[in-house]
Amino acid sequence: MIHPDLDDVLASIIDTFDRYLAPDIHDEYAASLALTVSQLLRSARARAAHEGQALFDDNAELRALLLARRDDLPPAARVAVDDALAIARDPRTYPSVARLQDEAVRLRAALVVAIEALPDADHPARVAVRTYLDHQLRRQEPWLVHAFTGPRR
Amino acid sequence: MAASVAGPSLVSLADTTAWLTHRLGQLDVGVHRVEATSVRRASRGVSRETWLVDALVTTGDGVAPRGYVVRRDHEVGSVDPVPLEVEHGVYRRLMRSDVPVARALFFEDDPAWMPDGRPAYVRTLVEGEWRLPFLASRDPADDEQRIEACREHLDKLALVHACDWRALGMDELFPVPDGPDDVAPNLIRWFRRRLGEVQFEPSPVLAEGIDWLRRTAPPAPCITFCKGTNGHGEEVWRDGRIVAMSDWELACLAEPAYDLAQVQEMVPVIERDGRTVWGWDDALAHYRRRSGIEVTMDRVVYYRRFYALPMLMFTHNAARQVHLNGNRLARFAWSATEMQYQAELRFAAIGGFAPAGAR
Repeated sequence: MIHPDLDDVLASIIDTFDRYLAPDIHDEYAASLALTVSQLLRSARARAAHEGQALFDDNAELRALLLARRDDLPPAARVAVDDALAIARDPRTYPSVARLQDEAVRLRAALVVAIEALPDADHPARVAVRTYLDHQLRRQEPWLVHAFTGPRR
Repeated sequence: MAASVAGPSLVSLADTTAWLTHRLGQLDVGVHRVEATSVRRASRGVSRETWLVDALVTTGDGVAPRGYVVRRDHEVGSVDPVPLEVEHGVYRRLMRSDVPVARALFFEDDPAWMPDGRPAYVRTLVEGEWRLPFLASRDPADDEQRIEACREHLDKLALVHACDWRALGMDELFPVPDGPDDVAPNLIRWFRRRLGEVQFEPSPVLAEGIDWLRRTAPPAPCITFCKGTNGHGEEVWRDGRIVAMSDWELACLAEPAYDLAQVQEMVPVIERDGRTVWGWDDALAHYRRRSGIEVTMDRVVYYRRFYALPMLMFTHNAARQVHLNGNRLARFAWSATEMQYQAELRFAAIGGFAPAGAR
């Protein structure tokens, strides 16, 4: 079985929940929770569709940034960045979301070290960091902005 | 009722009656009998549970209806890492001030009587409305009502800021800045430390944001007790006046700009026929007349961005509970995801990078 795919199934759950279940919830607190659940379901649907690619792209951009800017860093921070960059993903291993998340945590931890090691906010490396962060936030928009369409509680 | 190890059940009228009867001496003066007639959970609470108890109390004057509010953490914890005792402590101290608040009656930490085995505190229910539907109106006929509500809210904030916080003992609850220049640095240290206690994922946006907050921290004109989250949805209104200020979870010792930055929907910007009828300049001028304290817009803007820090504190706390502690309440997942992202956007805007969609 390939289709209906996950997106089809989640869309069915959301539609059924909103049309048939939520309107029949009459307890005030439960009805408020139903709004939260409905919005989270939308977010989960968009996240399932987009997170893998977003993390893959994000890790690649961050890896390139750290590599390009490592020489700007003081020695201790450079070691931390090098350690994070040294852990390469095995190209023969399926890049599951969980693996991409682990990689993102390591790379972002190194980026925090780099930011804290460069006190001049106008340093070109810091400017490049903020450009990357702009991209990182934009990649999450599908499930953290666009998916939320109504009252949350 | 023979109280069990888990304490009384809040959803049982008999148990709640037994609990309030056990605490009769700490309810209103002169009450010698109490009977809970309904208990329901308020729907809006995210960080903690709020329960509303309707009761009949018997005094020397007869039987009368009375309402109580029970506050406690969720079964799985609180979104807000500030201990419940601190929230209760703020109410207790403000009862000795001019600030309108509900009366905090008692804190239940006796294991035999904690409802459902959780600490809770009880305060009086202040009758009124938290919704002000006219705030959303764009009809010129509602302009004066919107402006008057703004003035009333600012008047009450001025009362908060006029508190003698040392005399009230607020310094027992919150860290004290080393003078006006240390107001923002003190807040950064305090929130950063508590965020560090719950943060389990690296956040480059936070690192950038903290750096900006430290570099640009404005000196304050004075040190005042502050409410934190305030405005529409946080206060109880009756007949056009605020009769109780609620939600003190982000209370602290800071300066008025901290509070004015967190005003929710209470400063209308009204323009008619190309003329500004009311806006932030008017609001700050009104506040200055009432309080004698000058608040500049640049400090308000600073603390609007600063608000990302407490947001990240409670959203990281929620994320920790969902991811590491198996907390499965959807409200925590919402706080940990969308709310955390919104906090990051506040910091992101500092560097001029602001994806569309920020609420």
